[in-house]
Amino acid sequence: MTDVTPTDRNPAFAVDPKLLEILVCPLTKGTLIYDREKQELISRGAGLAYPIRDGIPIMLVDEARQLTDDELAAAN
Amino acid sequence: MRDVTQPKDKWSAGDAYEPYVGRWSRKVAAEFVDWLDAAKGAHWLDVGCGTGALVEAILDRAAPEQVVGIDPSEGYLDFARSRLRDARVAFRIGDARALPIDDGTCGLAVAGLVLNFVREPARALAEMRRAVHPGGIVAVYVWDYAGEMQLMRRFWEAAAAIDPVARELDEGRRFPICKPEPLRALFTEAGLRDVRDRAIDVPTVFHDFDDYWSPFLGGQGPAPGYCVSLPETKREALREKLSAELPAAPDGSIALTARAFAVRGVRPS
Repeated sequence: MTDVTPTDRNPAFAVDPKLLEILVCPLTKGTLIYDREKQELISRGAGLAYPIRDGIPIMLVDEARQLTDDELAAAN
Repeated sequence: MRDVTQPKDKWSAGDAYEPYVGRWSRKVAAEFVDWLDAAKGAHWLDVGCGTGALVEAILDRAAPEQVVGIDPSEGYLDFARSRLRDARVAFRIGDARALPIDDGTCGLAVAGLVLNFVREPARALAEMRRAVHPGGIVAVYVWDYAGEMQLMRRFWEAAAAIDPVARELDEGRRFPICKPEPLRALFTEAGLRDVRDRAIDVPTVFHDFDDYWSPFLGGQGPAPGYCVSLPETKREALREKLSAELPAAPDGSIALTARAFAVRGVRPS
């Protein structure tokens, strides 16, 4: 399906902070940090960044990006 | 030789799913939500929400505060999101066996027509139990594949008469957990209490044979996936067999029944 309106692609509308509260890393169940600029959810415990595509968090370990050492240090 | 031990079920295109199962599963979803009789303003988690039939029933009938729908398929979620524009709903891509949901944050965790497709159903139930607060409800429903899910039952019986391979692909054989006893056992083993079950029967009335048959050509789900994999001659033989066997009324309509088993349990305090 491609009928996603431009609004959905606007990060400002992407993630409701209230819903982020209940969202955790599927691997560690630890809290996530929302990186608005990169549109990612960072799990420090797992060292992973979960992408947010078209406003939908992709909470699959297989689809997550491994954080670099620098990024991990910055997150901690 | 087709691999019959681990069939790859195709579940991704929402518009093909709708005429096959979506239109009937909506009716089951409505009965299921009413049966759970949740208080207004509850927080719901729908695991394997697919095209959003159950999310929609929750919104329409249970006055939720929030519904989070989780599914591994981006195609289905795009479809669900295009249909359900509601501020109370949020969708996430995720795995039923590793839910990205904090402990005890939901009042109800539900899964409609999902549990038998999850590779480790016990793990999925454990995750749903974790996601609800003490006293919260975990509940699922699945088709009675081996019994009264007649549109599929009739298909597989006709297919098996033509092609022995079909017997192995038959969901009635593949999913033995889709009966009340194994479902209740799974719930009890997951540490849920006050486990109850019921059958939900819905009429599935097809306008004519084509209305029954054409969704099997959409390729979505095990039976349609099998149907489109057949060589043309075998598929035509199957079509003719079903056309001759299905009980058509004088106006050409075909009235069948679809049964689902629903199970619910409570997370102990």
